[in-house]
Amino acid sequence: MIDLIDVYKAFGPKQVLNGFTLHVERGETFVIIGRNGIGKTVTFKHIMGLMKPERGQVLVEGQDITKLRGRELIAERDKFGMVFQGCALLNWLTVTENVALPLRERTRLSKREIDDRVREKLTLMGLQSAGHLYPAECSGGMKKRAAVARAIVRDPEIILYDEPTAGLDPIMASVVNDLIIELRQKLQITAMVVTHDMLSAYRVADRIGMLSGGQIIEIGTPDQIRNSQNPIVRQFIEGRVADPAVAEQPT
Amino acid sequence: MGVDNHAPPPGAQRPRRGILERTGAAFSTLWSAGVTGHRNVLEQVGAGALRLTEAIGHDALLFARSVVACGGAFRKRREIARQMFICGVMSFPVVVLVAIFAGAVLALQAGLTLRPYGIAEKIGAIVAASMTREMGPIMCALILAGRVGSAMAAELGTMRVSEEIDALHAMSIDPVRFLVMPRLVTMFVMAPVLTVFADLIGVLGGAVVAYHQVGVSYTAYFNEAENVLVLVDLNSSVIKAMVFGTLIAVVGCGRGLRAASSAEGVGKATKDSVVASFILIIIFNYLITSIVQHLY
Repeated sequence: MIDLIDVYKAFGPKQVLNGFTLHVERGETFVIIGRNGIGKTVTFKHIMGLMKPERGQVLVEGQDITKLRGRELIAERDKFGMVFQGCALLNWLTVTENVALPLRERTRLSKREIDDRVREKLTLMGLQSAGHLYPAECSGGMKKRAAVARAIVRDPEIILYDEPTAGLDPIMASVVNDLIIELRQKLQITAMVVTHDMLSAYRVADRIGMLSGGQIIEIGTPDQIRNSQNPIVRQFIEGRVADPAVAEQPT
Repeated sequence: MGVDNHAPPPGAQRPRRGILERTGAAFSTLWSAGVTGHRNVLEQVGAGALRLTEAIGHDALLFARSVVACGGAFRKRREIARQMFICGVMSFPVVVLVAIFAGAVLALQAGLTLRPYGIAEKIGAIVAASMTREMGPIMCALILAGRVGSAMAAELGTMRVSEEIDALHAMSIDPVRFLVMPRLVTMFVMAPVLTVFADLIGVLGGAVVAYHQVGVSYTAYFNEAENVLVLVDLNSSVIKAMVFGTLIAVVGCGRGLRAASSAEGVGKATKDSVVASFILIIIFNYLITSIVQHLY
């Protein structure tokens, strides 16, 4: 479904993606783990076509998104929903208006159809009574659920979660994890998650890939990653302070 | 073993260098700073010119894309109405206050100068002509650049930092159509409206001062004002306001959309938008005045 093949991306002297290669199957939940600033969000932005790589291919259902422009790129992006780390809700719109935004701006649905779709997604997210609130009046968990509702309101084929549990307390993080699992079961959508929260990764993932030095250095099921003997993976999942022997090379 | 006869003995004071020698050394350091990793003057000038060219190109492109997006202005009527309230209605009190006192001080200065010559009633002509032709549009534009243009840069810059602009792209929503176009339409409409109010209120403020402090009757004041004003003055005022409003919106939104993703970046974008707007307003004011004088 999604293939990144030998992708390179640098910001100034910093090489963020360095021959990044990854294949994600249709319907699976793939979690990318890795340290802060290692390029996880940059990977998502390449998949969405928000950034162009210097080299390499980003294929979505065989279509190279890096070669698309204008309407073709917009059509390809319509397959995605993305949940941003900070939720990225527009603060002058209510939760309902935020969720309705992609439908209002990108479809010709009638007001009644939009209202029905939005109500359905808000109910799915448990936000049916919070639609009138502005983002500033919502808790972190509510904002996250509103962001998920907005991401799925157009029934995307693929959903990307950027640090879905960042900044949430453990209970709310569990609620969001359950939400990701529930969405996969109910809507059968392909999901990619970037996180450095290992509890979340083990819980939601079908497969986990460890990103380090601009490449995926290990891929496996949650159990395989848990028992990995790769020193960099072990250091990360155990949260050990850098050991010189396994410390990452600066990218 | 050779001895350096030119080296000062230990503990001796270094000879004082002349001003020419020191200036030369300073220039030499400045020009050769590149060797030590700092950019020399030429490189800095070149980089500045490149940044300026890039900014002008970006703003011109943004303006063109916003104008094209105006085709969908009716669909954005709710957002345009919201912006008109924030940018226009909320700016009204400060514009009124500044216009009253600008008219008042003009009348006072003109009155004090003209009274000894017995032509104090000409205050009306001076205040009306100054307010309508130059002060009204400029004053209103500077207020809007400081109050509205900077707010646009800060708002869009903050949206960029909090990934809201990326979220719009991810939803295939064009930020130019969604964010910039409504602000451009708003400023294109509201800047002339506020300017006409500023012109009128400035003339009224001048009338009050002319009557109470200089002793010119209201009738004489407004007769003189009416005699000096021709339609072209009002047209010129409105045209200037439309251009200034457009400049403020494009510069404010452009700086905001290109802000670096940090609090410092948003601050810099806000500051740059005000400085660039002020400079452009002054330049375009001269150009429009020149063109209007030639046309009529």
